[in-house]
Amino acid sequence: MTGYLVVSALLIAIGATGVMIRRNFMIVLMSLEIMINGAGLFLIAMSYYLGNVSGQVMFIFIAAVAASETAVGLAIAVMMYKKKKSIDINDFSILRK
Amino acid sequence: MEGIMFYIISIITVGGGLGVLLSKNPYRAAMWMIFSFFGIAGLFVMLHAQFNAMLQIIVYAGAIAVMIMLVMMIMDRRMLESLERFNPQAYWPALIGLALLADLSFLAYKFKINMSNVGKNLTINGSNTQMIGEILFKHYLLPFEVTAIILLVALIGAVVLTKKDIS
Amino acid sequence: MKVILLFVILTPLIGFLINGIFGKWTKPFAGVIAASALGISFLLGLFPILSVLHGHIVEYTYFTWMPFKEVVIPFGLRVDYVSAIMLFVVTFVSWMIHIYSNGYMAGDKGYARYFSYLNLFVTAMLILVLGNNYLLMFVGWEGVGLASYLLIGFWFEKSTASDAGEKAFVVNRIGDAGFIIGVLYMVYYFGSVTYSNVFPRAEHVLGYGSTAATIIGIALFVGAVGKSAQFPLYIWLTDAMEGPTPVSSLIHAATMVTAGVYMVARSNAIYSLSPVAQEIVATIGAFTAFYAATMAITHKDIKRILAYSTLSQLGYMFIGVGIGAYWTGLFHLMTHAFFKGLLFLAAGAIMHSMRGLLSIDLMGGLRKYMPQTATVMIIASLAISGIPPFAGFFSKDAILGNALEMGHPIIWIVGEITAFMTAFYMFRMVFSVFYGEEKVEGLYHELHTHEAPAVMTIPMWVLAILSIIGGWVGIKMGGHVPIEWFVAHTAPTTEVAHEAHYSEILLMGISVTMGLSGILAAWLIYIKKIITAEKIANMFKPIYTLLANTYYADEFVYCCIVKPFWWVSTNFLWKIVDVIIIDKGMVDGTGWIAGRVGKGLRLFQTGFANNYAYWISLGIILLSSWYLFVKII
Repeated sequence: MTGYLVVSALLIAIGATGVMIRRNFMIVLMSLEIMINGAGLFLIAMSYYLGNVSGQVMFIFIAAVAASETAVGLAIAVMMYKKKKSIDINDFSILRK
Repeated sequence: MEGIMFYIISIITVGGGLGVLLSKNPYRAAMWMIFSFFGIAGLFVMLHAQFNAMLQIIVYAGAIAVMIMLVMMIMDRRMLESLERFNPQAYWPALIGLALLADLSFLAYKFKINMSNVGKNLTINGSNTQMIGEILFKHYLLPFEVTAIILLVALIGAVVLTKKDIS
Repeated sequence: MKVILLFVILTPLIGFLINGIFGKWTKPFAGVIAASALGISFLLGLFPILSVLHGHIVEYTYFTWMPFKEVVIPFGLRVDYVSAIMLFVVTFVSWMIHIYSNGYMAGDKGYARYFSYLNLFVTAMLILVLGNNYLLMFVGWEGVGLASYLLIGFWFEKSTASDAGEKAFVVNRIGDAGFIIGVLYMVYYFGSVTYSNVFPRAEHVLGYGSTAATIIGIALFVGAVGKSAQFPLYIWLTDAMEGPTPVSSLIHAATMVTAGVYMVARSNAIYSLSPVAQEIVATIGAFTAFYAATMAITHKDIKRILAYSTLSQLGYMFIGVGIGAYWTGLFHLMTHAFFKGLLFLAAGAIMHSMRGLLSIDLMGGLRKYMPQTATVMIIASLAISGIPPFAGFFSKDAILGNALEMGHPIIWIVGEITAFMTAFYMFRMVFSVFYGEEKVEGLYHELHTHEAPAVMTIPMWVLAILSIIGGWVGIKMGGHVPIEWFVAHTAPTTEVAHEAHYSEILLMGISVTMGLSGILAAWLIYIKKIITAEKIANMFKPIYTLLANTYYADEFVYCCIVKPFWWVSTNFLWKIVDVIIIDKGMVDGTGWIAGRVGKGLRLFQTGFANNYAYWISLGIILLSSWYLFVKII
């Protein structure tokens, strides 16, 4: 069990680091996916070890939310690209206004 | 045997993640990401979650990865490849990431649960899909409907964001 | 049979959906679709009725509608001896009125909309009648209320029509609240709302004369008072005449307003346990019968006369079910559906050929122009006046005879006086409309007054025939009255300790005398003119003014209920609660707090996405560390 949890922790940490340090917005999105998958792996592992299928159902919801998040994220990327011809995340600070 | 399989698949998964984190070229990063998704699907199979393994491949490795790739395709290739790899001050956040890793790993190591039900209650008549269906449509019907609304909202939001010309 | 019974309800629903969704395209034949849907529904409905006639109650559960932990509410339909009568009356009269509407509504721009509403109404009414539990009845109860609202306000361009619709809806809400309370009490005591579960256990659970039975009975009766427009919630019914006349006929005379009577008869097991509740039902019924009849005497608008007459006849029905002789109430319900439906249809025919004029002051001598309408109107008026062998005689006599025999002499006296007034005001209307001279010279010529088309007269004749023979099921044959025997299977007459016996011939004689003398009085005043109506009105000026203004009931409601409500709403709820507490305090206050907090937090908002990610990660680290140190180590 610890093995799965460590893999899950690794994925989350890698994803979080990716979100924090990368400048390319597309890769930030990919890192987010990795992070979400880390959380999903944790749920599935717990579902297996606790003998309760609810964790797997939760993963389905997570998949739906991840799909929504990606759709919106990509929409923002396209919009920013149209506007600034760049997807450097530091250029996105204009979203603040 | 299972242990060896676990290590191989884990290395694929984590390696894919590291690939995303480190590669400069976003197309390569996307390939690494798909690699990682397949690894996770393999882990799911080992955890007796066959339905979710298929879901993982179809939704993540299929739909989401293709969507990201498609968006990248409409963008200027040179711009995508010319972006800086890391932020100027990448050391502190990297340290935060390492701290997170250490913290979560330690938590994983210390985590103890009741292990009497391992691998039970995951199937009906040998079918994991049927079990998920039973639970999903009996106990989680309302969240399921709400998820449908979330997807709809995301759809509309994406359309609005890309359609509107902001000046 | 299971499928047939379901399709009795589904056919009008399908008609509603076709006309409601594709109304734009089905407009030329919307009426045909709606009427044939009702025809099919009526014919299908005959199967369960025949089964009941053979002694088999039809009851099917289709699915579990609301599974609660202890209370399971099924979706089931039931045709027993009470609902069989209602099923027949509702589908048949509705069918006739649908056919009639084809002629009456021809050329209206809301033709398809009208028929879709009409089918919706029948669907809801059939759910009300056939449902096998109170909650399903409530669905139908609200459904007919909705259809009634839509149809009263059918010509919504007229503000009076839409206001009348709203009034009906709001007044009905008061009654519905009572109904819900009754049903909730039933759930509390029985843990079930299904008829076949509640009624056999009623005596055991509640006990004879218990407070619980009285509370349930009165609460349900409040619902009936709202829906069946009894005193004091009757005020919506006369305004409801703003709708198209076939609607007044179908909903506000023949079927929907009788739902309350049906409900009381349905709940006979509970009412028989509570003499107090029964007394209240019968008293309110008798009072409404008399009260409404007095108002009908002074009115000049045909439809309003008929509306007050409906109130009065509904009062009779409540006397019938209130004294415990449930069969008499249902019997009068049935005959009333025939003759009152017919009266409204005839009024509609007059309105149709008079271009919407309704005042009896403008008419006179109309018999020559509309001979068929005149004939059916007279048949129906004789029926409502209680002249044998027309239908109304048997049912009204059954109610009054039973009232006397079961120990309610005062109700009997009131009923007989009302019978006299009924005959008087009906024939006042008939004589002033169809007999005598034309009151306005050349009016008919100008309006091209003519007999109604066949599509309207045929349904009227069918109902006229039923208004004659419909009461014959109440003739004593071989020692028992067929309809009493029939209804008593499901709704047995409450047994009273001291049953008085009177000569039936004598009672009948009194009833007939009352009816005939009413007609005679109307004849003397309006044909012979031995004394003009104006003179009588002047003689009793205060009473006349009171009656002509319907006892100032609307004014009373306006100044005693609406005005204070308005005042509280304006001065307290609006100016204090809304403006000061909600707007100033809660809305502006939260905004102010959020603004203050935001000002402080703005320092953290750099706009760089990575910076946000740092904070999120730090948060995760903090949370997991807390978990690690507090919970695990």
